Amino acid sequence: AASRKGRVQKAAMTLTPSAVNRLRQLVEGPDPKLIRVAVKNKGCAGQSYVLEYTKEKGQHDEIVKQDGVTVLVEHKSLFKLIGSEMDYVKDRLSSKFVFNNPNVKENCGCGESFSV
Amino acid sequence: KIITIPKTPQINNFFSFSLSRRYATTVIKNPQKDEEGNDMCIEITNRAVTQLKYISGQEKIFNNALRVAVDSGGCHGFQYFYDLIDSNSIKEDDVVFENDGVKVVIDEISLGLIKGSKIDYTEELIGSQFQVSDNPQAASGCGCGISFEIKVC
Repeated sequence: AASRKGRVQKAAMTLTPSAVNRLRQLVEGPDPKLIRVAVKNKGCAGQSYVLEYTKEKGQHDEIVKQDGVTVLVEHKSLFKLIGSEMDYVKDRLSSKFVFNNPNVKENCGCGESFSV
Repeated sequence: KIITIPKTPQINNFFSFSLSRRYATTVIKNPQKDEEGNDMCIEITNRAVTQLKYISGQEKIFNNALRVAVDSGGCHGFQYFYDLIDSNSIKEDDVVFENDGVKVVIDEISLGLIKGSKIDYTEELIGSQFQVSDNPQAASGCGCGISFEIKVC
């Protein structure tokens, strides 16, 4: 940590305003809770994004703080997610988080899974 | 007094639906039968009904219907498509299902591929969407539930 001192640290992930709003809604409530983003092996292109609630930060989780909202990035998934933009897209029939991920090589037809 | 329910599959289905739910999904236009003579039906879940009513209320359009279609595409060969349409644009070969005033429109060909399924609205942390679930015709599905493969007998 000492070697990082003085260096401007870039956030591992950026959030769009609509993602910030949605995340704020999701963590609202009496119980303190956090949201962790991870990449799991599933879907037809190999990998897929997973969001989960967690009570506290894992030891090596990366913290992304933006506009008063905190998201955790699971440490094993960090290299697959780094530099991504997390967005929340709503249309008439669905609403979901999408990741604009520069590490993605190939996407699934449905946009749900990918390979790095 | 004990009421006995005749043991024909259709009547059984009808009763179990109306007992467990306040409203049941019914065909209101162009009912279809499969090769074995059984009625082709789907179930519109309560969550889907609630969401479609919510959308209608938000947009203040009260004559819309959800069109569900199956087309080739996706990583498993077939893909589900969803659209909100005007009830006036329902075509002749469309089959219309209704549950508590909410309409789901499926064309005859697509219905053959999703008969027996549930039209559901799933809400997860990552997002919410309409989904065709428990499709008896699907052999395997994509992780996202959008694409599937057909069982070949």
